[in-house]
Amino acid sequence: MISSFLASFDLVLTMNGLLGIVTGVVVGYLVGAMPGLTSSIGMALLIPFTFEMDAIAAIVMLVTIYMAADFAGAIPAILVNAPGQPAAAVSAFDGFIMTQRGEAGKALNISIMSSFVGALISIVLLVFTAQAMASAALAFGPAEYFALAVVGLSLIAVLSIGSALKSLVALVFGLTIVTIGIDPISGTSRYLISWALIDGIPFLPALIGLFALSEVFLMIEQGNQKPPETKAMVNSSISLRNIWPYKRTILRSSFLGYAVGVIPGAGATIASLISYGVAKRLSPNGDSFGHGNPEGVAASESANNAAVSGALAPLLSLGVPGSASAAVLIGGLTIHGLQPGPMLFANNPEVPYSIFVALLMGLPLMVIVGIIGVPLWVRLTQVPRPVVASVVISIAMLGAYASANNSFEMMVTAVFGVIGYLLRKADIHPAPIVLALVLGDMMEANLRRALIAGNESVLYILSKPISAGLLFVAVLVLLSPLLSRKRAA
Amino acid sequence: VDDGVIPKPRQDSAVTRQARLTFSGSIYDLIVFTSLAAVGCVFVYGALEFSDEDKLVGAGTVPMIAGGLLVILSVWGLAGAIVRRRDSSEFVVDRPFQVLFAMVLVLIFPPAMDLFGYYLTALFWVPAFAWIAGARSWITCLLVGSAVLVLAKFVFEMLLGTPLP
Repeated sequence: MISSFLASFDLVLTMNGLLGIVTGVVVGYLVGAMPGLTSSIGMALLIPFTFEMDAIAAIVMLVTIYMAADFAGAIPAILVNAPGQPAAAVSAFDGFIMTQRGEAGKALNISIMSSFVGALISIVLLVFTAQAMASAALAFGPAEYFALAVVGLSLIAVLSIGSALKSLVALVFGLTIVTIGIDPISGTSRYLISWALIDGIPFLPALIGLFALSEVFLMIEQGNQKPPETKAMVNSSISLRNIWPYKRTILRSSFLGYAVGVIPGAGATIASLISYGVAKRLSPNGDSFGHGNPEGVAASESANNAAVSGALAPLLSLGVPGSASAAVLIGGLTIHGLQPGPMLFANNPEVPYSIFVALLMGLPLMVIVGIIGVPLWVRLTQVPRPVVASVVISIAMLGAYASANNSFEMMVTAVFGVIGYLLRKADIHPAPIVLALVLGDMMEANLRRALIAGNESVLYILSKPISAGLLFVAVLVLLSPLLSRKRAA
Repeated sequence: VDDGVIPKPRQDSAVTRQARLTFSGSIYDLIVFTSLAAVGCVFVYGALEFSDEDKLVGAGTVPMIAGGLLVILSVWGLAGAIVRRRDSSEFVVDRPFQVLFAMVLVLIFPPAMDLFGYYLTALFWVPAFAWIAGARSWITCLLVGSAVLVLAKFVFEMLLGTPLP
């Protein structure tokens, strides 16, 4: 492990690798600081730019976008109460009130340094747990992978934010449409309305449509509405002094954030909310949470940044994305011929280790860019929505075309953009659809392979201890809302 | 967040006069869930065609289960929307015509590009989209259009080697 880790430094410390990190940090901050654009949108838009790039530089860039966007999301949340990322909304509870009290610099300092500590702890955890998880997963066969996909899907269904029914509907919709195309086992063509769909719905154009285009349509609703202005003059400097009083909260939130991030479907927003809630309960000043308590900012930011590495652990070791952005990363990996999962550590160890190295090397840069660029990140919130919408949609359409040099991919993006918008208006978020597109394929193919191995008997799956255990966990997860409701009653 | 701390977005007078489509949220839920149930039905019906009777799980099994679940959950959502029809929140679409035009623009872009080529299409399409998105200065529309054309030529075609039609 140590030799692979050290060898990856040579790969990342190249012109391409460093350029990937710098570009990732800057683009991550750009999309993170701009309300409406999320890390998944930024990554989806940037994937087409990686087609001609070296695989390591491309993956490193996408991963740093993911982490930098989470760093940046808190800046507009604290300064103008306009969270750049959904998870940063929790940081605005206290951060914006601190800004109103004239403590914007302190709030930003706490946010950036807590993010730094949370991200650092979670990267260390990622290095140790991902390899261990991958080693354990080497013993997995189709039955275990099927069960793992079922656990992932049930967690997404139960843990997604908003209405559980609507999350389930989105998930099942994703599972339904992923069956379009040639059946991978029997070769039967399913629902082929066009021969262009023979390999199924193209993943990258679909996710660009679901994330980026749907957001553009929402921006069009806002028209030329001016974003909230900030008058805050911010003097921020890098110092650990401000976060020292909250060291326990930050440590606890970092571990909690990582653990929540590992769970598919939970993501940074839930990590942030849980850590904020726990910090509020355990803090002697719990009553002042929501009234400008810096501890609230520290808890939320350390957790949501730790969740980023958490979401990468199941992706790299098992091939199961922990979040929507991690699902987008699968698109980036597969374009470069890399299949996430335990074999990634066996066949291409340089990829996961380069990711770890890039995250570690990118961290100080994220802190520096964050602090120095505060005026620019605030200014970004003032960019007129029509300009953002036009640029995003143009890049989205170009990116969709570039994924296969075919206008059909553009049409897929356009159709999924419309579907995504119409579903979002009904509070059905597209993230479960994208996660289902990844896990649905994995679930069906492995179920059928397992049944072939077990002579068409379901008992074969249930007779294997790991798959039986995982399916039992899935049942418990699916029943948990009913059980908790009964207990509450 | 406490009441009163969220700064209200400033709005131009032009924006406040924009059209707004409003109706009951439960009606929109009804439309969405009915559409999703219909999609589920199509998948279940299609799955019957390629079901393999010799196998426990054939090519049609997963689409049938997923489609069936989609129908069941959508019907559940539909029932919920009917029950809550009196106290559901309001469904609002601001600038509905612009959103609709934007959708039409996005959907016609691929065939238009095949017909007229990327650059000619984008030359008119991008400023038109910016206008629909709310840009009211022709300089902004022109600048956005030029930026996209430059991006397409230098980044996508020359740097990334994507041959644009």
